[in-house]
Amino acid sequence: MDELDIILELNDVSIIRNSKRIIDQISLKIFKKKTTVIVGGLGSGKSTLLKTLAGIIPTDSGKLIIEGKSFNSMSVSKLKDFRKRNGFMFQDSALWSNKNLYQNLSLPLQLHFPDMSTDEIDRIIKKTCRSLSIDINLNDRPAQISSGNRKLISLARALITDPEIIFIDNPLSSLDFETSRIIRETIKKLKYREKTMIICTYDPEITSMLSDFMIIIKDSRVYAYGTYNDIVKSNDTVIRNILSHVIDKASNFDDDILDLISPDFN
Amino acid sequence: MINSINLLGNKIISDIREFAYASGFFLKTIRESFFFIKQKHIGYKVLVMQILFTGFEALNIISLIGMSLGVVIIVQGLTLLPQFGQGDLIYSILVVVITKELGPLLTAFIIIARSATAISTELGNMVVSHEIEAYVSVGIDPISYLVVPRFLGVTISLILLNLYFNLSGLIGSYFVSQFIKPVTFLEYFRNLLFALKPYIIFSSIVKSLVFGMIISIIATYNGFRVEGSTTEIPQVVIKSVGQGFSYCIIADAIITALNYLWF
Repeated sequence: MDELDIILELNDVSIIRNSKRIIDQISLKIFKKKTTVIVGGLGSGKSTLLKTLAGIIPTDSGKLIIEGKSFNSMSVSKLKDFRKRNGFMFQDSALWSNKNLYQNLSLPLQLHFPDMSTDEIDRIIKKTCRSLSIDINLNDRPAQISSGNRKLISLARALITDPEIIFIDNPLSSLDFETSRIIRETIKKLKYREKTMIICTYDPEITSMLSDFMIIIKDSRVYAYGTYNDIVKSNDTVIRNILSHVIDKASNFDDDILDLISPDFN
Repeated sequence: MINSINLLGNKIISDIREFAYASGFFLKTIRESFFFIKQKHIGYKVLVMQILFTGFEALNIISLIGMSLGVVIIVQGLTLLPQFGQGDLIYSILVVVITKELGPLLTAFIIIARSATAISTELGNMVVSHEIEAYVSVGIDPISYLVVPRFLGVTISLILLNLYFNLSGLIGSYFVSQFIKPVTFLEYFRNLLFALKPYIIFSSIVKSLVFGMIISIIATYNGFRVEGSTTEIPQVVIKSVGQGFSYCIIADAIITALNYLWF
């Protein structure tokens, strides 16, 4: 594991809210170009862990380390560069309600590429929407569209700057079949393009097909952490119990590999 | 007994923490305001919208209240003061009451009722729906993008609205004075300008500036204090109104006292 490039690292990190530890002394490493899936029960702290890794929620103790540098001591320009290189898809979409969909997608581009022309911004937005099969009026506000479309726009916003690291929080919760399929396919393509992905999910297909590493969270702590193969082979009853909800029993590892190398992903 | 001491201790510690946090919030807003002015910032549109909402859309109510106040002062003054042989004092009273004291304070109260409540509600909703986290995730600092434009917008609007309130009050009082004790427009404004000392104008602008800063900081700070539930939003709105009124009145008393000491 240590031969791989570490991109993110948590050292003994705790997050405390109202005297309760939501994240309790967690230490782990996220590797470059690998997909790490976070699984755990409801309220176990998965989303908080994801936001902590993304530097959205500040740590109360311990350190977030990004490519060897402490997040808290990063200069403004380094921090901006880190933000430019990552995208975050929120569980509840978190689109900016006072902006229309087009503005939701253009703002990250305007921020990170201030010299980019409006034509270029327009081209990128159209291309990203096409790749996600988004076919709605971008002048609408988030409240005017369906939750499925909001989720797609949220993913589009996360991918609009073509980031290196992508954080995805419960991408398929409460979605119709077609939107789920589009998001699953997009995540598979991102995996094929060797993006670093950290995903919180209950989806058996994403977990079994895409994860290189798995983090099992229980009671705000890391219960188990390792490669996908090591975790699924574990005989620990707690791990077996948590995995029984997310691992697709029907999935076949060899088939998954064939899927990933198929030309459809190009 | 030990329990009470514990509770008191915890309360003091939490108050000190809150004060330190609020001070840090205020100082960061001031620092980011300088960067905002110096740089070509994506928050300019937010600033323009804030001035439009806080300043432009409040013109009607400001002119109505300003004129009404002017009318009340002129009617009372022109009927009462001549009985004591002090009819000429009406101009000084108009200027002191409208320009120096009530103009900035009433304008601030209107802005607290209209804009501070709206700002706290909007930011509170943004916290609940994770929109603030979304801003952070793309690299936008919520203070520089959401707080600074509102801070500058409310402060600039309050100064301009105060001037507008003064104009409305003083012009309104002129028209009503024509029914009670007609004077020429020139004479009215000559007397008014004679009573309008530079330090009064300065004091009025300083008050608007300070009130604008207080209102916007309280409204944005309370908006961000929402933690995760929509039921907290009305609570922070009430806090913004209560604190806004209290701090503006305290600041008004301090500035007025300093004013009398210096001038």
